[in-house]
Amino acid sequence: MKLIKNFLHLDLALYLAWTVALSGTVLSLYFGEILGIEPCNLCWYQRICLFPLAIILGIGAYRDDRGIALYALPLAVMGVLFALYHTLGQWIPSLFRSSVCGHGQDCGIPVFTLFGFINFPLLSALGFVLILILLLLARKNGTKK
Amino acid sequence: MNMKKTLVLSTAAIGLAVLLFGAVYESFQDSKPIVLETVGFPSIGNRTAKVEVVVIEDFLCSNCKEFTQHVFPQIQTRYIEPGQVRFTIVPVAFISGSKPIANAALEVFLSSPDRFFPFIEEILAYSRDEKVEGISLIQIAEKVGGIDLARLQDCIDSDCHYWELEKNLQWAQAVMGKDFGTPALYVNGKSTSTRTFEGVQERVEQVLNETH
Repeated sequence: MKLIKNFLHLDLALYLAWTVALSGTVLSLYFGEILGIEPCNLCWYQRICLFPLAIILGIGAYRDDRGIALYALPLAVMGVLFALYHTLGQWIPSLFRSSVCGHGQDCGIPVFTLFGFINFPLLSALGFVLILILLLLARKNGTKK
Repeated sequence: MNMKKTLVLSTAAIGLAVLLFGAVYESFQDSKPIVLETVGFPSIGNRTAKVEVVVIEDFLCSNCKEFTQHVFPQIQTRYIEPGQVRFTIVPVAFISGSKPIANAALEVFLSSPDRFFPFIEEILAYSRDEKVEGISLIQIAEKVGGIDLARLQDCIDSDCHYWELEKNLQWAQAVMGKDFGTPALYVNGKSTSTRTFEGVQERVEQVLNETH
């Protein structure tokens, strides 16, 4: 009982932001490195924003250092922007239409689609938005303290 | 240690464990067989054998050399000679300097098919830096014997199989995709490691048992 009470009193915003980043990293590595699905260019840009978050937010959560949120916020914002652009590109293929064919994975082709509109970039955008909200909360709580 | 630190460390451990479990689980999953269209590629062994081993290799690739010198002879003695396996080789040339060698090998296959494997064995016997570039392909062909040297010289001069090598490379890239690398070995379309004879043997025996 005491354990649950203690748990509820913990300010978990930073920790939760980190768990979202960590889950995204694990998922991304699982699909990319273990299942061998090649990430496209835009996926790489999102990875560039996500992977550092899984490290620095982990350190921040461990040390309970909410100041880290300020450094993580730009990465989360950039991640949201890349993911939203990628999502739109998969919904509206004409956005990605090019006059030349390139080498490598096409960003406009979804790896999977659920209910006709849920795809990887959308999940990525939701993840980044969640991280963003949690980081803002962590910063707000930190300032109050 | 306070509760938050314990929570962070346990979560990190869970994340790492999930990733490791996924990697181990996937590595134990059998790769799905693919259909390989190998008509026209150099091949030895029983044409009606139930097992076809296909190897994609670059003659200047050091791991291919390792495979050809240590694993291939065992496959030959154990399975090709008794007629249980048909062995097909897809020569590709993506390493700098390997095109002339693969070009000559393809010409040897076309003019004297039975001299193809002795010819590539002889090429691979030379180390990359010291000899193949020093010794001419004609000299190697002469040493192997039974090869039309004039025709080979013509082909070397005109790069006569370069277009075919380009086609082979595209074929291999389509088969392997992101995991492109040589040597790549397939037993009835199932990707198999070339590292040891035992690994190949296990897969060939499995296929032989299934087809009996």
